[in-house]
Amino acid sequence: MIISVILCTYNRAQSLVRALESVAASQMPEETAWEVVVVDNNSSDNTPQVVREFQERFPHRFRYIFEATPGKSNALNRAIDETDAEILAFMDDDVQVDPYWLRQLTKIFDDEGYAGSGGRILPESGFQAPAWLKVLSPYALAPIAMFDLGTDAGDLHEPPFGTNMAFRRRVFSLCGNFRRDLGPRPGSEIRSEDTEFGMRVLRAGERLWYEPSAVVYHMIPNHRVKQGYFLKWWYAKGRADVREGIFQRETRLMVSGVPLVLFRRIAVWGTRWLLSISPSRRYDCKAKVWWLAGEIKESFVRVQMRHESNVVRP
Amino acid sequence: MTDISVILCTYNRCESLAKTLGSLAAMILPPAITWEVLVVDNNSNDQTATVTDEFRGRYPVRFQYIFEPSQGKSFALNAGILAATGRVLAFIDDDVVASPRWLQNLTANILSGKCSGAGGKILLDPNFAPPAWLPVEGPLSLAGMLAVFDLGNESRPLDRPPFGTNMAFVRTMFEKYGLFRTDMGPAPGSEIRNEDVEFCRRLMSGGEVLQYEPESIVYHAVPERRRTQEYFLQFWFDHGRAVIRETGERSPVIGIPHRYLSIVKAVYWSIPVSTLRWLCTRDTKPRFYRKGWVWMLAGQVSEWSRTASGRRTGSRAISETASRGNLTRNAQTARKVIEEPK
Repeated sequence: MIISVILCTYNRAQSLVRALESVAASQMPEETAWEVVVVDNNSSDNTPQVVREFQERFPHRFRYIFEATPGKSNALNRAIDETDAEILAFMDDDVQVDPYWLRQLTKIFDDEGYAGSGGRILPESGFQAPAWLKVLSPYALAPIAMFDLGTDAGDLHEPPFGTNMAFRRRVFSLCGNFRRDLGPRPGSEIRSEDTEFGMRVLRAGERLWYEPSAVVYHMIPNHRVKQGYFLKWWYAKGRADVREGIFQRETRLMVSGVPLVLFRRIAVWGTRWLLSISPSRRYDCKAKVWWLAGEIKESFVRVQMRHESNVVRP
Repeated sequence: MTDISVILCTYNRCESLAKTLGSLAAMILPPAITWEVLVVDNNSNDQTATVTDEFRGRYPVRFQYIFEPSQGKSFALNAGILAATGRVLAFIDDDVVASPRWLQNLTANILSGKCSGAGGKILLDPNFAPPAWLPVEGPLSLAGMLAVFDLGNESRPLDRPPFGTNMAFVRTMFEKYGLFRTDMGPAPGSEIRNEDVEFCRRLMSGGEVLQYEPESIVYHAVPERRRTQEYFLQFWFDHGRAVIRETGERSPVIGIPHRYLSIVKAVYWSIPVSTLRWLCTRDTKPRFYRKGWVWMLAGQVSEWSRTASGRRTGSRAISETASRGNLTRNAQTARKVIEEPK
């Protein structure tokens, strides 16, 4: 089995050192060939030096690719095209992996029936959920990229997150690469390139595996545990959802491209927000409002863009 | 003052030492906590110094090197304790790999003053492919014989001593209870271990609280010599002896010492029945488990006949006392995993 770990980075040399140090300490069976492909997405800091240092310390383990086009999806797709490993695992530059992360994440590939796998993403050090945040669903903590479905391994029915997932190469030939209109880039926080890809894989009828022993620890800067950050994330998530095309079949009743149902929903959730008393309930409703606002904005923008391109085309 | 000193004793194992240090270099700790790793080279004659130097070069204050010429793990441990500057001392061996949160989870409750010491989980190296005959899961699991320490997922005060490759104490414990006993602990030519368990027993009988930290995980390598059937059968045999020593003499029946009755019962009933059961089992894993059961009964018989003939005199008695610790520890480890086969 040949495995490539793909790690895209942008101007985060300091945390990159820690990420690389942890993945360098990975314990793999001797017969497994594996490499780490660092895709420098046009960084202007000392990222190249950091990677070079690891290349010297661990010969043949680390590869460096420079991708000048900004945007995480561009970097990811570049790495997919430039490697030929059978298994592609993905991690980010702001996590530290367990020494057996890669081993546990990829062991399911001994079973031909599985096309991909996802592991657990835990906070780096004792994370205390603020009072306004009720952690009831696995997606409540999605804004800080936590992913924890418990300690039982089994089939995974929802898309894994991009900092702890692995797929067979054939999945990319089958379902295509990461969408370039999604994924963070300088000036845009619209993410979802990972979950959108995972959805495509699941819809294609492929099976994914959830492996709780494949653990990565995600750094959570304090500024991310603020309501402001969470709300911005949900707004961006709403925009990403529309880009993914969740309204394509749902409705034909639209005003300037915005499905009417969205206005009704935002009114309902806005009222609930104003009428709620408990802080966590208020936050839940508020997050919904922000999410719907993102969807409305993106629906509107898309139609404007279509109009403009129609005007230009003839 | 440093918050945490990690003490790592090593002897001629530079290859696995590099793995251990690599995992320590990737430790996650809150930025406010200062910590150091003391590598105590116990008179190695391989590349140990070079391997350590590489890490010292990269992390100058974090990694430190001490040379201890007196051979024996307890000497090395004590040298590390005396050189350490940390308020909390954590211990790890050169044949394990630590998970990134190991140190933080092991020491958090000690640093906050909740307990005087702690022991974490020791799991098998996930890359270890057990031989076909070796059960490592389920009710027949023999993982306990490979120095696995896993008391579940709940943090609670320990009711048994933790193992030396994953434990930590407040520094003052060593001032209060003394250092590790140098007549115990592995040394070239001696496999008598137990220096860790003996120290923890001293603390526990002094009423100190040692906390079990399930989130503090190290993965233990399985060396070649422990992958053989002989190793496990010897373990069963010793376990059988240890069980008898621990339970002690039972009251005589109509004037006949109980051990004679036990020998007769074992030789004419338990051993033949268990042997038959072993030979009639076709599935390799339960078959080996049942074979081990016979070895354990043989160990019991050997221990009964030893006490019966009363041969313990002179130098023999000393070596017996010394190896007793080892046996007791084996018994402790194995108690959880060895149940009567159904």
